[in-house]
Formats: sequence, structure tokens, C-alpha cells
Amino acid sequence: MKVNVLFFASLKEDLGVSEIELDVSMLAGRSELLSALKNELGTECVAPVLEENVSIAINRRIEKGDFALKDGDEIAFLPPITGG
Amino acid sequence: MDVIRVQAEDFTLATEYKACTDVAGRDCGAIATFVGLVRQADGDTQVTGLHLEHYPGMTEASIEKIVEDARQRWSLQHIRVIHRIGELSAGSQIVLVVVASTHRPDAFAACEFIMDLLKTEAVFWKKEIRSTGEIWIKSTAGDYDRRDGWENAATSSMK
Repeated sequence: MKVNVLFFASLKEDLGVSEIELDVSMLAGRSELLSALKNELGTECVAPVLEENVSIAINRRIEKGDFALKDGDEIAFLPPITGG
Repeated sequence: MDVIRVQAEDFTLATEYKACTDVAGRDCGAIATFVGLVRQADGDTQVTGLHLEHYPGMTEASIEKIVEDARQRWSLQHIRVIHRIGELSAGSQIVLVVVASTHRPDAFAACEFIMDLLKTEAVFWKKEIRSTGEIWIKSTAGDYDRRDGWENAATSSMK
């Protein structure tokens, strides 16, 4: 199944891409998602995404634990936020 | 109905203040406003501008959550939050918070609370364009201390 992956701010700059489509299995969790990302972008390129301070949002909700992806989900990698 | 807007366009304080007074109600006795600006210097470092990114949908939801939290804590008649995105030159307005209440303590406190939470909880990314290069800004330890101060205040008031 297909999921859409978004990168913002410094991650978008580091990876040189703002959005990619990934093929993962139904109910794929965090580790499968990251493996698919490594295959797509290369192990070295993906390093900034794996930083501890990067959050993952699924369909615009932060997921701190594991998750089970569904077809068409939107996954966003968010570097540290700050507004105001 | 509170107003939350994320926009590239500039805003006018007088217009937003008037819009607030139009809906705040007859027992409104206090309106607190705050405008945040792009600093022109950070210490000795010259700042020429700011690049602001957001995540459509998630950013607005994060501000709505802050506004709802403010409403849980204080008695408020109207709240307006406008946050700009895109390329902002030094000296530009970035953010506006307007809070209407019956008495000033609630208006002051809620306005400060909303600004403090925008620093750590609102989904934006800011890149400072400096004379020495570009740098993505992160919340400071002081920003987190201020947020935690509100959390601690809420916890102690529930005891």
C-alpha cells in the first residue's frame, strides 16, 4: 500500500525533498516505515530523520509510540517546532 | 467565536482590535494585545529577516488547542491569534494575540499564556537570516521553563 511522507524545514533542506510516496505493507509500524525510508533515500541521507528530537505525525497527530499505518496515510517528520 | 489565522499577509492592530470590540460583548472591560516582531539584531549579530514555515491543518489545530487551554483557565470573551508565514524582513510583525475579558487579570494572563505556548507548542519552523548565515531557531530553555511554569501553576491550583 502507498503512504505519503512529508519533510519540513531543516529536514526538507537536509534531504533535498519535501514529499515522497512510499510502498509499505498494511499496518506497517515505525521500524518498517524507517526501513522503507532508508531504502528509498539511502541509509546516510536518512540520518537527520532519525534524530531524537524529530517527531512523527500520522495524519497530523503526533505519535510518540508505535503505530499501524493504513493505505493513504500522511506521515510527517517534524524537526523541533517554535512559533511566536 | 474565536479567530485563528495563519497568513502571509501583514495584519493591522487597529483593525483586529476593532473586530474584537465588535464581538466581545457589553461586559468586556479589558482587552490585552501583543504583537511580536522580527528582531533586527540578535546580540551583535545582524538579522535581515525570517523564513517561517508551517504544516497546513496541523498548525491551525495546534493553535486551536492553545486557545482552548486558555479558555479552560480563564474567563474570556474573545480571542484572536494571527500568525504570519513566509518571508519576513527585519522589523516586520510576526504574530498578534488579542484577548478580551471582563477584568484585566484574565486578559493579561491569557495573552501571556498564549504567547508562551506558541513558542513551544505551535507547529511552525523559523529560520533566521543573519549577516553571518542562516540558522533554524529552536525553542530556548527559557521558553520551556515558561511553559512548564503554566503547567505547574495549573497543577498546584487543582490541589
